[in-house]
Amino acid sequence: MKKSWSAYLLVGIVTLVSCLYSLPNIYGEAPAVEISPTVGEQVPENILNKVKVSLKNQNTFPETIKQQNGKIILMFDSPSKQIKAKSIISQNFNSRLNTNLNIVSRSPAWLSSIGADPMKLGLDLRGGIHLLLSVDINSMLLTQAQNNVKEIQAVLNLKGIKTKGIEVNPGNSAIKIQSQNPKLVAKTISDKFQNMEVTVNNSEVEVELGTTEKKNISDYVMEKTIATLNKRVNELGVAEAVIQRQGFDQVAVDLPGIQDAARAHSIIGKTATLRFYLQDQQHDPIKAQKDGAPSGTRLYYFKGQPILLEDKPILTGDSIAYATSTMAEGSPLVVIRLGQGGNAFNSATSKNIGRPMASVYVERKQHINMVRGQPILSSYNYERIINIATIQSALGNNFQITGIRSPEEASDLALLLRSGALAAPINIVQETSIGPSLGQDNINQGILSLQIGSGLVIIFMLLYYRLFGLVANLAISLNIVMIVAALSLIGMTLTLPGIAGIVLTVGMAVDANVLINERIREELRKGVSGLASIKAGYEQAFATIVDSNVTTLIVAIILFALGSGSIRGFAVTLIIGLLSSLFTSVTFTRLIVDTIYHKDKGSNKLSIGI
Amino acid sequence: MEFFRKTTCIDFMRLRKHSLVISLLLLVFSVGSIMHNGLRLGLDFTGGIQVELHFPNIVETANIRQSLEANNEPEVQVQSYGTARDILLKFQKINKNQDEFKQSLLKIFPNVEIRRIDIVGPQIGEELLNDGMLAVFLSVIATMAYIAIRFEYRFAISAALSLIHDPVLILGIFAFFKLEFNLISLAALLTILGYSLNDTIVVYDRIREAFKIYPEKKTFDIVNLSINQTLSRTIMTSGLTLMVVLALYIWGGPTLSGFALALIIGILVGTYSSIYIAGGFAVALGLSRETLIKPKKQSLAGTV
Repeated sequence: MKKSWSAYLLVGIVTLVSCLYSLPNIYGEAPAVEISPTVGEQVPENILNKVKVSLKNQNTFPETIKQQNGKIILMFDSPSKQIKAKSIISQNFNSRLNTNLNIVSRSPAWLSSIGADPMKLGLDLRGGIHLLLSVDINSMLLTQAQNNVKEIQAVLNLKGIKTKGIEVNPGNSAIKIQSQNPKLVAKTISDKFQNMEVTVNNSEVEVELGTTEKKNISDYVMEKTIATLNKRVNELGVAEAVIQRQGFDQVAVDLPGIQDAARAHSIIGKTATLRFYLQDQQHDPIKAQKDGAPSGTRLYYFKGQPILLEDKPILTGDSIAYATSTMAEGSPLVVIRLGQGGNAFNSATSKNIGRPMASVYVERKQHINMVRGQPILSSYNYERIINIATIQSALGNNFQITGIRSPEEASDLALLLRSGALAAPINIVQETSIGPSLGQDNINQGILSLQIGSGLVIIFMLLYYRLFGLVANLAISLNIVMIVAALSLIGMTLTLPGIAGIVLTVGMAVDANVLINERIREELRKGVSGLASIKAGYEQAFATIVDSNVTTLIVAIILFALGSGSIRGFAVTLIIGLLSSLFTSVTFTRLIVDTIYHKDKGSNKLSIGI
Repeated sequence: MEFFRKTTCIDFMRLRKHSLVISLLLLVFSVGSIMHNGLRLGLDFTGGIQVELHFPNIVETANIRQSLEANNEPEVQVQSYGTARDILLKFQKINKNQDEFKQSLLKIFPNVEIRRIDIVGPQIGEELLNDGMLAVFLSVIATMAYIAIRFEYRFAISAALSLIHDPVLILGIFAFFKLEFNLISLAALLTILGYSLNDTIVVYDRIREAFKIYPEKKTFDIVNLSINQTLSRTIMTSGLTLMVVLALYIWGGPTLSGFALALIIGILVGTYSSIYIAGGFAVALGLSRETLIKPKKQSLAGTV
């Protein structure tokens, strides 16, 4: 049967597009150093020349130099040259240039311009760090509830309504009010606060934030957390970092190809800030060591001596707009510039001239507690007084902190202050660190098993089904190319289970061709003519092919929905593979078979192995 | 080349009671293994720390364990992993973070290459386990619903019963050989749930077609015939997928071996269960021509 041109056109376009968009993956990647200017939009020409000269002198000249978005990308042929180049450039051009390590594709620019980029490789194929952070939204809700308690008390006092007690349930952030007149309390509160849910149980009134309000707070906390993490990761100079919300209260952070694991871990994982407290000079700190700190104060230690500080800070990290670290007379210090809150700080310090003020470093740390025999990750605040200085004059928007222990601590602290405090405390609940050599091994093993698996199938199909087997093999190859193109286009990350999914698809997709060919053979055995057999075979098999793939698809979709990370990668390749196999195994092979056999009308001889 | 020159004439249905007994035995064996040996759950489900080490020379696990014990890291599982130079360490307790861990390991084994470190908090493991069970449950429901819509409810029930075989047997074999079952093995198990239905559906399709083509044959014979007709196709596709998965198992590396093994077991068991359980149960539940093909309504012209 002569096929219409549109069929050939469709198949042709699909084949061409698939080949084009899977092409970038062939070019491989190169270790690279990205240079961007510290000031201004572009690297000045003379600086670039100086960089080139210094690299050439040290035998670390790049293989290729590219320009992209104002950055200069130097591509090298080995990681050791890449690292050497970075240290040469950082040492000599520190003040003028920012340098970052990165892994860059070698595919030509014209491909990128049509949107054809190579597949992103997952951590298990590239190496890097993965962190799963759990955001403590409950503590935000709790803080909100505690604020609400103050407001509620104010309203009730205003109306002269007495209560027997107000407390907040730490488990669900619900406010419980004991009162002799619960109905009146309930009515007053719900009149004044529209967004809260008020219920009455006997003599107790329970006030909770409405569900939309809770969802808004959760979403806000998650967004702000992700934004802050993004800033921190940018500061680290990790390219291609992926920070995503996972589920209700978790954030997944992927840092591929990172070479300084320790630093990344501490910057992402650390929640640290500065707070400033006035010293309490009315009570005796030594007495407080025995009897406990009096209300309104807290007990700290500085250089071994106990000291009492007021428990309300006069300045917190939220007010810090910018911070850098520097050295002065051999000691590291952090320079701080305030944003909002500068005025309040100014007036507070002007009222307290002559009083000592402590700069306190606050870091959130985690440890393992055993609760009923089960290990539970919990966090606590670690606070350390960095410095106590007497307020000489009203402090304005710019000032310095001294007393920091090392230059690294100063620059880390400045980075954390710059990127802002996290909206809510976070715990690292899962982390994975994969070295680059393992990544390369995984790639090799994945590709090897794909080659051998497909190879076995191809040989078998050829021997068993002859020409029809050859056509099926062409379909398999096209299927693999289509999967690669699809993954590259949608920007999905390829993982090792993803490669396994591709291998599996090869085995499952060939199922369709077996079905068709067996049907054709059945018809031929009955004595039906060649062309009619082909027609019957394809038509009868089609419904069964669709049916049998649907069930695997259903399961793959469930896996995609419930899974995350590499499991999701597997589900995606399976889904794409099965869908594209419908096209390659049926439409594509039919077209080829019909093209080959349309001339021999009425022929009974098909090269199908019988 | 042909393996199945003529359509075979094996009387599958006569042996269906025997097959039921075999199935029950296999199920009992599996459940017994699981209860006796317990299922070794991987890091993803239990939480803890897992480290992949690569040494420049061949190492003995006993020496590694001694070195670790001497350095106050006693509660650790040491096993060989992949090649003779690779070692997998598993720690139950998380009492350090990643960098402290790396430092302490490098002190004990100065020349080692730390290829991978996984730290999973305990709560995550539980969440994943729950999500996994939910996924299995949803898959069974969804696929049952699909078959009920495409065919009819007796088929759906029989298919569901045959479905239960596969995961139970996979878990049983993992338990028997004390193999580790982790998240990716679970993904394989779920894939098998979907995949083994393929064969079942092909058989059902044939049965339905055969009812139409041979109006005079009994249900028993129809089912037998359908299975025989599809036998060549069933064995070939299972064989081809099996070939591919074997390639994964042998050459895919240690990470994928649990995954590939679950698939291998699943394909073998699934093929068997599609043939016997699915067909046999449908017959047992009263499958007949009438249940499958809805009787045509009396046309007005016919009643005159």
